[in-house]
Amino acid sequence: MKRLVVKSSRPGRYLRFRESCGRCVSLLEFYAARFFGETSNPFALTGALIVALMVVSAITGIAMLLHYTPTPETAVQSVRRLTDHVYLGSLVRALHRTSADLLVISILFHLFRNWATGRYTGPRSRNWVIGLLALPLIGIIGWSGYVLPWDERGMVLLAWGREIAYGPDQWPILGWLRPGSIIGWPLFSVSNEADQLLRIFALHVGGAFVAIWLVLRHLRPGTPPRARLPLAVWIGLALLLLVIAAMLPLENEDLLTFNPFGQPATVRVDALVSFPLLFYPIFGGSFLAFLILLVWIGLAWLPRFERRKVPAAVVSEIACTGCGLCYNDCPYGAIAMMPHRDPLKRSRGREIAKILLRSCNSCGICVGSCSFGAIELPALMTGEILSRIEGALRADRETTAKEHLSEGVV
Amino acid sequence: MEACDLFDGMAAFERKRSGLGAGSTSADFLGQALWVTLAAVVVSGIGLLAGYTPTTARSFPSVEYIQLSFPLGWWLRGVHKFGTDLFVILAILRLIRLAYRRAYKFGGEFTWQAAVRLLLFGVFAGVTGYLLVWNQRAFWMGGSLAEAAESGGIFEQVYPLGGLGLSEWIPKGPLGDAAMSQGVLRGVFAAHIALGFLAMLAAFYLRTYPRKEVPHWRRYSNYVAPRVQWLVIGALTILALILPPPLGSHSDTLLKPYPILADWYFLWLYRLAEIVTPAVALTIVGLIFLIAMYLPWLDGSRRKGPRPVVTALIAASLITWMMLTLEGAGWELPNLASLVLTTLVWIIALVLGAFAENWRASGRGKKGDEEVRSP
Amino acid sequence: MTVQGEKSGLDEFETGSAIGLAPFEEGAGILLDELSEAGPGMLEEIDFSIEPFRLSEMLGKIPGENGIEEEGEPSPTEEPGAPEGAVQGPGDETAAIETVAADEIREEEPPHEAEPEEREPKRVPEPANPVIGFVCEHALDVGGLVDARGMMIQSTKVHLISVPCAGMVKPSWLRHALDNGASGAFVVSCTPGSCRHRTGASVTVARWEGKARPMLLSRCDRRRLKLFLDHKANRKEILREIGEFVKEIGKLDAAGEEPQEKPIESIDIDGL
Repeated sequence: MKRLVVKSSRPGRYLRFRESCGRCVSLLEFYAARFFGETSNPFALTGALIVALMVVSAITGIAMLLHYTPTPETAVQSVRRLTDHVYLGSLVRALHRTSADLLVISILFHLFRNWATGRYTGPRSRNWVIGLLALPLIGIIGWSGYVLPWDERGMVLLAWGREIAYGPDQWPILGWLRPGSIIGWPLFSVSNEADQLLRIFALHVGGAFVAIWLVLRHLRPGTPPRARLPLAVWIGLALLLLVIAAMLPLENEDLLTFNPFGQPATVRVDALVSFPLLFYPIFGGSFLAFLILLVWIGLAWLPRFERRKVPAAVVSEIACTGCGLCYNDCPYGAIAMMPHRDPLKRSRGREIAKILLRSCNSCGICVGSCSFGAIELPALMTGEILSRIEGALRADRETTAKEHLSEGVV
Repeated sequence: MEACDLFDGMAAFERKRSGLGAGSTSADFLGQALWVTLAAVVVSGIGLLAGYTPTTARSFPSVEYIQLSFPLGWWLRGVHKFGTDLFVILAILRLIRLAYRRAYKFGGEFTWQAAVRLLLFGVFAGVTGYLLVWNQRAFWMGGSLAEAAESGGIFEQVYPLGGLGLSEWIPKGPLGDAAMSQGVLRGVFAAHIALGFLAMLAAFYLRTYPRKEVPHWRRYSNYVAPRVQWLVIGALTILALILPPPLGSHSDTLLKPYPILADWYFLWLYRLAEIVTPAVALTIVGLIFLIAMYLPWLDGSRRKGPRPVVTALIAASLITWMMLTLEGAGWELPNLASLVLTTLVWIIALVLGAFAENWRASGRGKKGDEEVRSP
Repeated sequence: MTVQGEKSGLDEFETGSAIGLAPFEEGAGILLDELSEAGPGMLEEIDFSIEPFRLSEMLGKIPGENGIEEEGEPSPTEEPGAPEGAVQGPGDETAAIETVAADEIREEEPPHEAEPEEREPKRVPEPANPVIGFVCEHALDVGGLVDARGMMIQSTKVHLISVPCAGMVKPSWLRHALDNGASGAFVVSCTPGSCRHRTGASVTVARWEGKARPMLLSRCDRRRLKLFLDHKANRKEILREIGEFVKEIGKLDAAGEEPQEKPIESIDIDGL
């Protein structure tokens, strides 16, 4: 007796590793969904969490802007005054710090989840790269936030940042082109302290605007992404932020006036907002810059290894009625409705669906939405599916008939 | 009837995407230009952030530095200022177009309200930005605005600002007028940046979520035709070159200039405050705001299509506004004459509008617009 | 995941599954690497004489025939979610899982109470005709479960068709299956929060509930249709639930109920 059994294809090592990570993430989501409910699962709403945390950071940041002056003489005093004398000032400051930390955690989890579940391939590689641009930007904004009070820790971190930015100048071969000076020029080419602080300030606030713009471009065309948190999750997030902010208050002892003669070798930072800084004392600026660039390029090139294998959907000009259901349902915005090519139909206002090949991920949702059979995935067409169904039913009937014959049943 | 979208680049984007060519037409110019202008203002604002110091002592010198010595500072400041003016003009034109096409009904209410809010953001961002220069003009204008708010009285009771450290909001200067202090400057600075954020968030919200009467999901619609981009940026750059925004002189708490001039979009308010007391002027402003926000529900007619009465009223308001602005800028006219003129304008507008409405309703106008039956 | 010679892929089916599957015989299969490689021509060259397993034998409550121990029949009284709606929501999931877990425990325990000789072997009825299942490839990987024709290895009466997303399933396919004599049809989809293609699962739910076009026709017998919303981490549960559903269909068929159409009340063309 022979059986034909379909074996799952055995993918390569990288894909197996990624799939196992994906299963871990899915398991986490599954148990979280049991706990939080299907519609309020934060592990499935990572993007919306990021947007919400950005909003909280922006609001608390603007509230602090009412009390902060970006001059070297008054920066520390204004922050101290904010923390001590302004009503709810220390809470707002702690909320800002906490939301920034959670923002970085959320972005990293968002990155991991979307990598592990393979949501970066094909047309989604554009989103992946834009997200990868936003990640270091947020990190740099966090770093600049530490520098803004212009205290001891700020000065140390400023020096570290300068070393990392100018680090590429010391690379063996490429350093000859002075890439570090080019990178560091916009921010560090100043002649006095006041200008330096202003540039850091512009980076912090202006960077937030650029981050918002990047998020706008990151949101995929198509059905609107779930970029809004449900109310329940908002309330939970707010409570979490308040609890953490209350438990880990910012101390004013951190704000020591800068002492040029006694710089500490290490300073206390929240490990999450700018985690590469943790490695600075170990690696030094040049090597750290190299590591960061390596990791970033590696991540950005990942989609190249998984190009489209399944052909995109195709539309039948004869059968398409222009109802637009596929246009509504396509999650990638890969369908546009355009006036029909046939002049007679066009004169009657008939439209036809057009597939944008660059955006199609061959998911087949458009196939499910078409009642006229006008859109098909060439890899798996309706005719084949229907013939499989009929074949299965027919085979079963024949088998049953044979058995009834052999058993003597009419 | 195609309802207007705030960022009407959608139609052009779909045309381009469907491969039938023809990017933008004049119908979507407003939306695309609005978006480019907003982007130009935000980007130049970020550049200005790197040169501006928000302290009372150093704000004016830093603005001078930006204008004269900062690399491309003249361009940044010029684009920022004229970009804001252009933004306000485009937002007003947008509102006019929405109103006379009567696109604020039947599902367009949110778009209308968003357009009103965007205009308000633009105007208040412009005012706060104006104050940030901290020259004579800005200083005293801010003072008079603050005075008006104080004398208005209602606002202080509505907003308990003391709790957030803004209790020094309206201190008194040596001349007895409201003077602007460091706390006020910080508050204005924060408000300016907050309004920039709000404008971007409003744009994001408008883009991502669809309008109800449109059956499809609206997609990512910030498509701007290249020629619109070049046109707007080019126009702003040329303006920045030939008409550098004035610097004036450093603010002096002891020298009060006369007349105190505001932004051109607030001159009407000055004039109004001179005619009636500031308190009444502010109340009128509040009424206008309410009418503007709730116009879709005030206009209860179920008929589709433009209504001549609404168009006439809008024309009358525009003419009044222009007259007030001109008078605020110094164009002299005896009070009585201007009053009579304004009243005439409104009476003519109402009469014409009523006639046109009747003519249309009796069917002798265009093929009568059908009544909208509730589903 | 290979099948020949290894029991690794099928371990989970050897014990405790609601269908009561028999362990796969060693050395009994020919393997194909990928279904896509086995084009129509290739399939014809291979010997197609397949002797199917009979579900009733596997459920085998006939002692001594296959050497399968007799199991007590799980209580048929509480089967939440199955007969009522076609869509299984999260609440139903947990209820079904809990009930099935209880069944599983009962099945694994040796039947102390009943004496094999006294008890009449009870057969769990199988469906009269095949049950067609559309399986989202991200919700459930059908590798190792089906042969080249889509028939489940463990059961002749279940056919699985793998699709890239549950949103690809046209409701007309389900109607077509039922109208052509299938006993039932089901769709296995991811949960709406974890759909790989973002909206496929929610679109499917909307179509089944009649809130999105094309709709699943209300004249289709909803007792014979089911939508499984399952997370792909949950392979055992999905297969267990499919087994439960198939048993339900079997009971319906045994009770003599043909796949019935409700009378057509209005012209209904697949949700237009």
